[in-house]
Amino acid sequence: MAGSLVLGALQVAGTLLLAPLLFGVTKRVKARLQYRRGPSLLQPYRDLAKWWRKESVESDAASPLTAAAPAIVLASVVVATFLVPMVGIVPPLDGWGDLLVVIGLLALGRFVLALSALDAGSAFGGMGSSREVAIATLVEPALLLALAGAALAARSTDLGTIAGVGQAAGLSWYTPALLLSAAAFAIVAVAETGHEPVENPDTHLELTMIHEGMLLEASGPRLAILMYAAELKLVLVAGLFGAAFLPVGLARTASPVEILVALGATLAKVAGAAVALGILDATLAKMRILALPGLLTTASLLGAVGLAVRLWLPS
Amino acid sequence: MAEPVEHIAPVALGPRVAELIADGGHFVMLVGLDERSVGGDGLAIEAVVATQSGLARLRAQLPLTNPSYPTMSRMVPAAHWDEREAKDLLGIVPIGHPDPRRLVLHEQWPSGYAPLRKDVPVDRQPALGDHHFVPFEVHGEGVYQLPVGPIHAGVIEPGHFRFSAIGERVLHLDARLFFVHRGLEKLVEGRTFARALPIVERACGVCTVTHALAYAQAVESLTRTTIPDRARWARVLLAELERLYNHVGDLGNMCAGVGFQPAISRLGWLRERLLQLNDALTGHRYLTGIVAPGGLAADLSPDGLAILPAALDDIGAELAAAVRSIIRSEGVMDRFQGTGLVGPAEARTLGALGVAARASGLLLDLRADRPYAAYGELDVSTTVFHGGDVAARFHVRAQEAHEALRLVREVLHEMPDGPFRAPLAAVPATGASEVAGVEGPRGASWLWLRAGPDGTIDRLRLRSASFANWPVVAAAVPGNLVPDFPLINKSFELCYACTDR
Repeated sequence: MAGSLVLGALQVAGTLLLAPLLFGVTKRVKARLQYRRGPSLLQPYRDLAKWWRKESVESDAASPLTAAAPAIVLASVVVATFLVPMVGIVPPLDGWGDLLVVIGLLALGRFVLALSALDAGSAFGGMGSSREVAIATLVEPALLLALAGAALAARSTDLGTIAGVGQAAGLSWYTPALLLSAAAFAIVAVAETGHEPVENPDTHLELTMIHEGMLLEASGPRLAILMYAAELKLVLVAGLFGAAFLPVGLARTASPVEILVALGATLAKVAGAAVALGILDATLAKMRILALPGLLTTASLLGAVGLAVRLWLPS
Repeated sequence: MAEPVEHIAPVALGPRVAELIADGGHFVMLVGLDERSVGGDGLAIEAVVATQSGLARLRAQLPLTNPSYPTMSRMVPAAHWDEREAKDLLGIVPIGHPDPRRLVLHEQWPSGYAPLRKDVPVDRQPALGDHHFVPFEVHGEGVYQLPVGPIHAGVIEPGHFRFSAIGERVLHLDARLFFVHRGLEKLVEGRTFARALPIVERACGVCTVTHALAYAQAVESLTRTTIPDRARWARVLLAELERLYNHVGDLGNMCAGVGFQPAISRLGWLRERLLQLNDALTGHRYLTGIVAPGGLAADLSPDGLAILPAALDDIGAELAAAVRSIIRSEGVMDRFQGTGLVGPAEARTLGALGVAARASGLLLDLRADRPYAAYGELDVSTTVFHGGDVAARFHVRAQEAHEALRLVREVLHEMPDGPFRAPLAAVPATGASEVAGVEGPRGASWLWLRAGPDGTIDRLRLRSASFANWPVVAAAVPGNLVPDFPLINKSFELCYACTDR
C-alpha cells in the first residue's frame, strides 16, 4: 500500500511538473529541423507564469460558464491523467475509473471548452468550436475502437489491468491486431493534441485555427489554465499510448531499481511522443480541413480492423 | 514617350475606354484632377489605357458645381476602385456606380471633404464623425458572418475582411482596406521633384525600387532627361533584385499558408541573404534611396558587385532545391491545386496584373510590352501558366525568380562603367503631364505625374499592382473554404501600404 502511494505520488508530481517541458521539447525539435535555435525548453513555464500575472479580459456576452470552464477543463484532464498508469502499474486513482472514464473525461473537457468558446460571442470562438466538435465526432469513435483492441486483448477495460497483462505477456503482447490498434491511436493522438497535419499549433492565421480558435478569447490566468490543460493532455495521450500499446518498464513494487526503470521508461515514451509531434510539425503541411474526415476515418478503420482480427483470427 | 491627351466629353469617356479595351487594350488608371492650379476652372477625370500603339489618355473636363459623369465601371470593372477613389478624394461622382460605398476615406470622414482639391490645405484636419461601416452581407438560412481584422493575430498590415460563409464554404468576401491611407499624393503636391522622391518611394516598404523607378521615369520624361547607360543597366539590376527577394519571400509565405515549416525557414533564410546582398550593394536592405531622377543617387558598391555573382549562383541552387522540395510534397501541392481559381476571362475583366495575371494565362509584362531602363536590350522571358490557382501562382513566382537571377547575371556582364547620374535637362511647363509604368514584383505599377510651376509637383497618382489586384483576391475566394483564405491571400501577397498610400 505504501509502495503504491510512493509510485502514485511520483506520477502525480512528475506529470504535473513536467507537462510544460514536453511542449518545450516539441518546439525545440521543430526549431532544430528548421535550422533555428528555438526558444528555451523552459519557455512554456515562463509563458504560463506570464499569463498568470496578467489580467483576464472577458467578453460582455460571457456567462458564468466562461469563468468556470478553465477549472472544469483542467480538472477533467488531471483526473484522467491519474487514471492512467505511468510510473507504477497501478494508476494513482486506481479503481476510480477505467479507459471508458478516461475517454469520457476527454469528451467532457472538450465539450466545456467548446461551450466556453461559444460563450464569448465572437466569430472565431464559434468557428473553433464548430470545427473541434465536428472533428471530435470522428476522433472519439476512433479512440474507442483503438483502445478496445487493447482492452479485448487484456479482457479488461481497467487500464492498470491492461498494462499489467501487457507487461506480463512480453513480446507476445504485440500481435498484428494490437499494432493496428496502436496505429489507429497514433493518428487520433495527433488530432487530439492539435498537431500537423491536422492543425498548426504555432499559427497566427485565425481562419485556420481549430483548438487555438477556441482559446482566442481566453486571456490572463484563464489562458494559463487552458494552456496548461493542453500541455497536460499531451502527457495524458502519450501515457495512454504507453499503458495500452507499449506497457514496458512500469513498476510493480516501489523498489528503487524498479522506480528508476519506470521513470526512465515513461520519460522516454513521453519524450518520444513530443519529439514525434515536433517532427510531424516540422515536415508536414496542414491538410485541407475537409480532408480531415478521411484521415480520421482511416484511424477508425484501422481500429475496427484491429478488433476484427482479434475477434475472428485468434492467434 | 510623351503621349498626347485627348479631350473628350464626360458621357463619351466610359464607352471610349470600353472600346479601347475591347480592341485589346488594358486599363491603366483613372486620375481625378483639379484643373484650377493649371489655369482651368473646374475638375477633370483622365482615363489611361495601354493600347498596342502606346498609351491612350482621355480627359474629360467637369464643372466645379456638379463634377459628375456616367460611371464606366459597369463596362470596365477594372475601373471600379479608381472611380470610388476619385469620388472620395476629389468629389468626382461616377453616376450609376455599382458600389457607391466609401473606399479610401471611411465613413467617419465628413461628406463633402475632398482632400485632393486645391482649395483644401494639406494640414486641414476635419472633425471625424461616427463610424457607420455597412459591410456587404449575405443573408439566408445557415449563412454566418465572419469579421476578420483590421487588427490581426499576426504582425501584418491592417485590412478588414468580411466573410459570408455557409459551413466552411465562403459565399462572399468583402475586403475593406485603406486603414493606412496617409495622403501621400496630397503630401507631395507643391514639393520639388527631389523632395518628393523619399515620400514616393516609401509608399511601401518592399516595392521601393518599383515606385522610385516609375517616379524617376515620369520626371525624366517631363524634364526630357536622358540618363547615362550605367544607370539604365543598374536600374534593371535593382528592379530584378527587388523582384527576387519579394518572390523568394512570397514563395515562403505561400508555404506558411499551409504550415509547411521546412520551406518557410529555408526560403526565409534565402530572402535574408538577398537582403544582405542588397545592403552590400546599395547600403540599404530594401534598396531605398538608390534610384533617383536622372539615374542613381549613388553608384553601386564595387565590393557588393564583386560578391554578387558567386552569391547568386549559390542562392539559385538553394532556391531550386527548395522549390523542388515543395513541389515534391504531396501535402502542399494538394492544398495549392485548384484553390483560389481565377479564370482568364475573370482576370482580364477585373484588370489583374503581374503574377496574378500571368498565372491565369494573361501575357502581361511591362518589361516586354513597354520596355524601360535597359529591358529593351534584354530578352526577358515572361512566364505564363494557365491554371489560375494557387499552384499556378506558385510556379509563376518560382520561374520568375530564376529569370530574375538570369537577368541580374546578364546585367553584371553588360553594365558599362561611366557616370551614374545626369542632371535634369529642363524645367517642365506648368500643366505638362506624363505617365510611367514599371513591372514590379506584383505587376505593373503606374505613376501619373503633372508638373506645377518651377519644377514642382502639381498632381501625382500612384496606382500600384496591389491596388489593381485586391478586387481579384476578393473574387478568387468565394467557393473556397474559410481556412483556405490565408493561403489564397498569400498566393497574391499584395501590399496594403502600396494600395492605401
